[in-house]
Amino acid sequence: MININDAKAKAAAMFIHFSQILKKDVRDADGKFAGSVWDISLKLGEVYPKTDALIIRRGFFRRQYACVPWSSVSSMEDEVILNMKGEGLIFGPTIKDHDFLIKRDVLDQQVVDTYNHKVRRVNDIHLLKVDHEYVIAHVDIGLRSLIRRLGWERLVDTLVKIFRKNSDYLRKEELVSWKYVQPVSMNPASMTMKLSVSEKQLSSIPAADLGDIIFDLTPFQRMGIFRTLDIHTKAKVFENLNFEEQKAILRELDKKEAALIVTHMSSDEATDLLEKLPQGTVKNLLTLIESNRSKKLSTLLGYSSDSAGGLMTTEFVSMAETMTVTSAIEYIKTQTKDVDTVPYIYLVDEKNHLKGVTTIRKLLFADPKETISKTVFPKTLYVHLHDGMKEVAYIMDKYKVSAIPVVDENKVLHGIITMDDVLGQVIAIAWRKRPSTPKGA
Amino acid sequence: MNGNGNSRSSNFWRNLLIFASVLGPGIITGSVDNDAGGITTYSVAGALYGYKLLWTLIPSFIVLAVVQEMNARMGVVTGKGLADLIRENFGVKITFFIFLGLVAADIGNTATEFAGVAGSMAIFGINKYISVPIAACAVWILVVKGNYRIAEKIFLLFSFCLLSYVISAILAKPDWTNVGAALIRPTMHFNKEYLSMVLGIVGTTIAPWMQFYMQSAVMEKGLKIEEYKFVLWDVIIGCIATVVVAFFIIVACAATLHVNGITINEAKDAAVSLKPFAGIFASQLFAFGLFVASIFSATILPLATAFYVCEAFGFEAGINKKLNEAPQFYVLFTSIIAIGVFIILLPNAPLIAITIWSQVLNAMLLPAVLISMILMVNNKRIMGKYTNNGFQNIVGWSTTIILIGLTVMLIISPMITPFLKLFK
Repeated sequence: MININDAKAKAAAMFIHFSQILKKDVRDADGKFAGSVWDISLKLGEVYPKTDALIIRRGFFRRQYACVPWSSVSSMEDEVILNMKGEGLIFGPTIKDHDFLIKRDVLDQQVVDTYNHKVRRVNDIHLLKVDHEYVIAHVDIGLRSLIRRLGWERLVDTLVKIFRKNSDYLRKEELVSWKYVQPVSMNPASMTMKLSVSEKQLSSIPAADLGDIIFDLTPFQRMGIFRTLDIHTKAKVFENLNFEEQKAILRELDKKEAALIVTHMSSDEATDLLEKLPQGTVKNLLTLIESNRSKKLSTLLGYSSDSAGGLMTTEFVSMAETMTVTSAIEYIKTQTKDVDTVPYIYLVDEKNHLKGVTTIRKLLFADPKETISKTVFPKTLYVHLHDGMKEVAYIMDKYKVSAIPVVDENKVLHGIITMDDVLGQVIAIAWRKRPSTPKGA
Repeated sequence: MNGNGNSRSSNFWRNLLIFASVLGPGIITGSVDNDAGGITTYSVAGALYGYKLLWTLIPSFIVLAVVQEMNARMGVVTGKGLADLIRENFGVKITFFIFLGLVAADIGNTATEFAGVAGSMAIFGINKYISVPIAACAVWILVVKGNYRIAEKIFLLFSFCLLSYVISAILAKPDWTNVGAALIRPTMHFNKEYLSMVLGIVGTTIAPWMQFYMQSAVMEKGLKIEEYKFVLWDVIIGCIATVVVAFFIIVACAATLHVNGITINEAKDAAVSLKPFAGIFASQLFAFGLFVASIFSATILPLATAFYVCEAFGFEAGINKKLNEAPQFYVLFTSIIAIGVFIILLPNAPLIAITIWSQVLNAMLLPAVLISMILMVNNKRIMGKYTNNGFQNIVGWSTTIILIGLTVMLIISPMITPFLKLFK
């Protein structure tokens, strides 16, 4: 027991709350008053950035600021003591532009918590003492840190102890490790966002959650984060937004960026979006999209949105029926990276007529030398371009398939409809009674 | 991404279309402005001082327009709510005390709204122990279970009902030459009653919580700086609507009650007293306007207050979140309504004291909110090139100083009136 408490006490001594450093008096080497702590600048680039400089303020009505390199800070106890003379400080009416200031960019600001996938407001910051320097360790988002900032920690602690000794309020701190913190402060001049190492953490968030997160932020922060994503993540996030949100993002993008995103979206999602946009905008976008892709999209746009043609995606795996199993597997390994729905493989002749359907599983267990046409299902299921959504859903449910090919009158293969396309429509109908889609889970 | 209409007429239609889509925040804020508290203040002012206080509407309009324009601009430029900005720029302590005052004042204001519901329904013969609980439950269900966005649009449509005051005023047959003279010739008396009335009118016209509401409404619409001129028109139309309604309420009460020497304490009294002079129709119109305004504000006020507090302190908030996702938000929202209703249903509730105290709290809070607003709107880091110009700063700062001055005078006037009498 005692050991644990000791360790706790030690840890407490090593951590320091940023709010408790703020406004502390600063004295120079001779003990003369130099000003008070205003902010601390950080050296970015590491997972846990180190303190770089101390910003001191003096004067009340005519405020002046000076910047002291961290090497000149000799101790930080009740007061901050510098190892230089006060005369050496250069005060100016504004703060020099620093990359990253704790108070300006983190304290009281919103940040993205990439671990819990939420937007949080920072109440305090934990600094960890390492040798002579401090590193930023956690941000505190708990209620207790708010009370501490008001200066009522002791009072409230005592009160809580009287009523519930073991309350969560006293025992649990709500901290987020800096590793998972993405600040969203913007440089007002360049409208860019400083990214910390946690940039990588952002793309680890599922696209649907990331969409929710960026819409919890202000439009500028939203675009700041969105712009830092790579094009594939952008397209994924974009697919998961509702139309109003998509429009809000599109307004901020120039046409080239918008076209690039549409190009990287799956064709059914892209068609959904284009169908709702005004004609002029669609024409503009299509001219900027690579020609093969834009042809496909314009064809898809021709089908009504609740017909099989409107539901289908044009990304699927089709192969010549004459291929051998070995070369088919090789083809899947090398050529199908962009296709989401690989389990089914559609066999076609040279004129693209649907000849049969097989699965990867079947190919893996088949004799490698055989032609793939030997592995097909006995009955080839398909729907027609103009079949309605209900029919499609009915067939998929009846035969328990997760994807179904779409053909025209001549049985030429045009696309496939997957379970999630149908599900999306069914959910839309089910939810129509509710005014808005629920957020969060 | 716009169409390619070059001709003048298509430009006009396009502008009109953009305007219609931008329209809303300013006009809704303007309508909420004339809530039960506002109607009470205007009617009491009209009954007590006749047309004398009409002049205050002109400075009120200028101040209202300048302040709301700042809010709209801040919302458009930063994309953040006022609560967010105050927390981010002034830290926890200042935010806490502003919001403590705001919550206290808003509980008082909500109580006033329910008093408005009780009063107006009493005109139609419905007891307050029936009308107030039903209204409160309706408001709660509407926000928690229903669709607030649609409700807001219906309210907006309803706010045209406030024009019923225009008819009430015309039916009261006021002396228009006196009205005109009073509007442009300010009269000032340095006694407690008159000063508190002036402060009350200015205070009810620009209530602090409205600055928060306005900015959030602009922010939520996701308006952009390119649409700014439309936003500006929205603000101006909203302010005009507010002042015009206030004008006609004062005129209606002045032409009937003041002329016949009837003093009133509540907006309901105004509706009752209108009957013998302007007819039952005018009286019921007045009551109906009061009811719509009260219920509208009784919905928006608790909702907005709960929202800003959560926004500033980082709790989850929003009507699209479930109870277990945003507990603080729903607890706050429900408690504000519950306390408001409780106060009104107390037998012998000190209604007038509550109204006055929440107005005084409003007036004391307003300078704090205005000072933080002006400091932020002049901060280049926040506003970029859209900081205040000289005129806006002059109006902003002088409003703040005059309000502080009026508040101080109101507090010390009982002490100094004996001295003033010596010089007469």
